Amino acid sequence: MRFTDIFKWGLRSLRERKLRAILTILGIVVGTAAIIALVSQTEGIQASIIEQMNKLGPNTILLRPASPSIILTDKDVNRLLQIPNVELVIPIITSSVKIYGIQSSRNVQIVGIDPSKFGILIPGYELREGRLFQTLSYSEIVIGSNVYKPQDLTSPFLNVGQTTTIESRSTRMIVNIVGCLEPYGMTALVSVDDSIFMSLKALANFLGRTSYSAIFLKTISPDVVDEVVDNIRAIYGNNLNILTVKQITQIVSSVTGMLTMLLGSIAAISLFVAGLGIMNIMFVSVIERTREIGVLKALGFKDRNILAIFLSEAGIVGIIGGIIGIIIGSIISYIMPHIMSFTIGRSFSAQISSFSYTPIIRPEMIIFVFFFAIAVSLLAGLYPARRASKMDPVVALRHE
Amino acid sequence: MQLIENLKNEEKQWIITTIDLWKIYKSGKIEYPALRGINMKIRKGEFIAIVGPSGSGKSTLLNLLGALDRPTKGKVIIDGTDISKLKSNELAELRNKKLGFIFQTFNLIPYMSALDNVEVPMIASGIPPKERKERARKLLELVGLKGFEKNRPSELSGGQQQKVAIARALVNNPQIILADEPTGNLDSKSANEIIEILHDLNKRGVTIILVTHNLNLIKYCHRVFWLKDGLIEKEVEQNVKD
Repeated sequence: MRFTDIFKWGLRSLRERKLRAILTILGIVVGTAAIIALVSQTEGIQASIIEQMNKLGPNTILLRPASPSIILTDKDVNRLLQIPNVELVIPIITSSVKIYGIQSSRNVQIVGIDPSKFGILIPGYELREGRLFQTLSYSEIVIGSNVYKPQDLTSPFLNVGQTTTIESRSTRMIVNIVGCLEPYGMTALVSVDDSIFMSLKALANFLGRTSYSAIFLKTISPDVVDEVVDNIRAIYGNNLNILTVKQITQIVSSVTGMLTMLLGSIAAISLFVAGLGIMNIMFVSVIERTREIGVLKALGFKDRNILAIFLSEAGIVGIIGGIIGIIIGSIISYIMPHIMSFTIGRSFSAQISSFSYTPIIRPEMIIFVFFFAIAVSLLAGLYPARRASKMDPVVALRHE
Repeated sequence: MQLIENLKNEEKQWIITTIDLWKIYKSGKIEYPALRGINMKIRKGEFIAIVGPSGSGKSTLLNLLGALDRPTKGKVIIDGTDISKLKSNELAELRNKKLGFIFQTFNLIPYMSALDNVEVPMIASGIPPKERKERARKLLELVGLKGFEKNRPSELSGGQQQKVAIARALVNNPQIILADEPTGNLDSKSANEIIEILHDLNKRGVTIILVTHNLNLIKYCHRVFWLKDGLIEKEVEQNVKD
């Protein structure tokens, strides 16, 4: 029997039972689309996070006190600068403040940093309007894009050039908004778009503290990161939480990798269920066509011809379902980030809403999912098809 | 020497030989013998009828003569091959190349046109589509169904469907046609037409084995085997006028 004849036969008998064929194909479509749509999300999220991390550079080390009793001061900054291969040490202060807008107030993150180091903490930032604050200015702030115009508002919350009040534990200060950032996304520590920034000294003064919240450290090259970390640990022991961008990247990869596995396997289960659907419908089809099988055998079709005809039906269901599923899955995959940011932006604070990513559909994934769909279909069709092929022609011909 | 040569020649003229053919069906512990030692020889080009009441074993016998089934005991030799020794794929091959089947219920494939139905046995043997179409068209014309190529079985009368089935049975140039009650579902006019076609085929040299209980159909048969309780009760030779 020729391959094209087998294929055509499968197609023809599927066309004969259109509704049934469509429903079985739909099962495969759902399974395939689910895998593509879900896995592409986690892959996109992973890539986006890693990209943000890498913006900081792989030679970055982040130090934070391991407990509130440990404080980081200028002494520590100097000590860290002494460590070999350390290029830069950037102390920052972060806190939460209330900022007053025209009609209401909001809680935002405030970051104190030396303006000369601003571009190192937030590499490649762009100002939408205005300028950065100055080192010695005690009242200038720069606001992130979501503080300028939160997503739930239609008009800006604050404008550049405006004077407003920030408040922390009943201490108030009047500040000038001198600049506003373009949307940026996240970095390792800071959700840039949802934060406001001011000079390190000014923030220390305002909050009345002499210690830093965290210290960024840059080594001269990524290769010496581990060595520098060892040195820091030798000095501070377990008093500091030491995070390297390298580590974070690894952690993110492993977490999202697990998430990919989890979502992928849930979606794969739905494909298996679709396979059961195929098996079910194939059994019905084999029983319905018992007589046809008998006739074909009488006319000289061999067992393997019958097997091939029935398997081709299952295979075609897999091919069509796989292709449609991949297309639909890709479409859903690109719509999903919008739906997610919309719902999350509404239900949570603006913190997460600024996180954006593009789903990634790798060609290997498409190929894998396609063949997976076909494999599931063939596997599901194998048993019924075998049963058809093994039928005794005499018994099959007698079947009413 | 001459005697052996004669014997060989005599052997050659038999297209089907059965030797002490038994078929026993088992259901649980009960054994039911459908055939109990059938010995028959059918010549090349003969028109044979097997008649008998229902339950006499005619269908069982036809299944064995048609290589659809294997005997419990005994031999069926079709064109020199003992089918009891063949594997199911070899049986299929034999059916495809040497035998043609015609059934009472036509057994056309409902989702295929008349032309496609005639093509089916050629698909099994891997003949290219162009050649298949050509042959199928010619055969439909032969059985008088020119113009009905595209019709599905449901759009044809019983007589027309049976003609499609005959065209299908002929498509691989079989040596033997096995017809199981081919007119059982037809009116007398159509039944006559079918018998005429079978007669015509027989005149062209095709061996025909007809199973029926309708005695009006056996007028063209050279020999009639009467079956009863799994045994040949009598064998009657007939003079056939063309």
